[in-house]
Amino acid sequence: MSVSSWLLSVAPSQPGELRLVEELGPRGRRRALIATAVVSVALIAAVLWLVLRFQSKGQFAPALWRPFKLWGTWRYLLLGLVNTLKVASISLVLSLAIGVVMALLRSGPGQVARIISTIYVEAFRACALVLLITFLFFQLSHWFKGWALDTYAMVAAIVGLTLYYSTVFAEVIRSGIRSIPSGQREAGMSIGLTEGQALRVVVLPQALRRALPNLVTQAASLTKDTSLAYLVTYTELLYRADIAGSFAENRLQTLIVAGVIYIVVIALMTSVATRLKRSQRKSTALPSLPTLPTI
Amino acid sequence: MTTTEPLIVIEHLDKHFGPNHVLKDISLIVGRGEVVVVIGPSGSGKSTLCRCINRLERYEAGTITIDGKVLPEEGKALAALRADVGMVFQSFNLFAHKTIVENVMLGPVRVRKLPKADARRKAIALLERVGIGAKADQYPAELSGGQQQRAAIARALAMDPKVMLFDEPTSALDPEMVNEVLDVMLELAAQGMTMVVVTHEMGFARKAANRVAFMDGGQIVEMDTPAAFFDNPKSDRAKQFLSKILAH
Repeated sequence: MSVSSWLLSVAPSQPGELRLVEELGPRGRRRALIATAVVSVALIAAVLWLVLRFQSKGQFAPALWRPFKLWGTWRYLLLGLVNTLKVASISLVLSLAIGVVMALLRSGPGQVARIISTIYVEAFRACALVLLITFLFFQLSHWFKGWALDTYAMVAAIVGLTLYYSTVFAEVIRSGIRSIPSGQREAGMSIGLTEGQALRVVVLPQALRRALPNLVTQAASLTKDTSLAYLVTYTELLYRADIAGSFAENRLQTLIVAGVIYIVVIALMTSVATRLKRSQRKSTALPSLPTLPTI
Repeated sequence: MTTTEPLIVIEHLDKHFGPNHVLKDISLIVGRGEVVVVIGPSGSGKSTLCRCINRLERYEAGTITIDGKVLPEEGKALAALRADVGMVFQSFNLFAHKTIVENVMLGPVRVRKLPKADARRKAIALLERVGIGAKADQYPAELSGGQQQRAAIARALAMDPKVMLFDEPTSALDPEMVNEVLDVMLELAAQGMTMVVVTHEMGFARKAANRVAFMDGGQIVEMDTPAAFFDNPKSDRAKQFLSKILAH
């Protein structure tokens, strides 16, 4: 099997998926094949170069990887992962809840509610997340005395992530709401639902389904952004990888392992979401919104 | 069939879409049990009139009274009145995320506070009445257009409405599905349901209407029994309109 056909088989186009381009003709197919080959060769060369560089600098020396033969190293890192997941899951639940409320307020009939929600979203969306977390960390230690250092850091991370990602989710859900034809809302009101009820009972569930791919993308992004808590000394995965790496003098190797752990966790999240989506496909006539790139 | 008791009273209705004056001083009385079919060229305001009757469309001036109650402007009172007015849309607008039976149950459960089991029984009975009992647990996207529209009629009927509004109910259907929907509507009319029907189906108008209202340019130009209107239109605009659609 040639490299290009292997690459094509890895990313098959699914039947029923939205096609944005015309099917390729013979010349187009030849061009695509050449381009694929060139890119594949370049990729392989890049990987080879990286491996050789590592090799020449002695980064594959067994001594540098030995710590990963010890359960203690893994235990130390995995406890970091537990903290990462703790902050990620609490922030995810909170920011989704607030995001839904903000999206409803901004899409609903209430004038005042719309203004409040707009200000909230525009203000916190524009905040740099690192700044938010750092600021909260120092403020928390001002407002509340006698907590453990790790608790300040954890709460700062959770609140910071929640404030920022609730605005992201609010916008994703709002665009989902806007994508539902107005006839759905009208049909709801025609059987006697109030405008707010129609929005909650009829429009929102459909909007959430359509927004699901984007929500998953952003949830993955949130999970990765828990690493920012490292800066306020919260002992999550990245922080612990850094400590373990400097302790065993194999920082590069440990960070690579931490990176792989992040990739595995995110991949698991995405695959669960894909399965979820497939199981409910028949109940929605409409395709999902195109996924936004993660920022 | 027509009684003298008025169910819907529309008086001096006026509406603009920006610079367009789409409803000009419309007045219309629909009696209890009466079927009024509204016809007219595109842009004549007939759909807008239909949508004003349950205030899905706002209007600037005039009053609409349904069963003695003036249409409230907003809020819970408006929602409560809408619950008594069934509406069937051109594009069906079934709730895409709910099964057919859930579509029919939603209003009775949420608005009328009927227990779920009762609502389901009633919904199934209604679906059987419109001939799609077997589709109860399928999603709207799995049904044909005609079946979806019949489900939409069942959904409206589930609220025990005093009047049914039909906004071009067959315009989005494939030709072979038009009759299955019209049959359900004819049966409703025969059972004495008060109906306001905006449609291009002249055959339905002849068979089911007590009166035909012909609209053009935001006004009701002519109003008569179907026999009188179709065989002997009085206004030039109605004559012109009928000659265009009845030519073949």
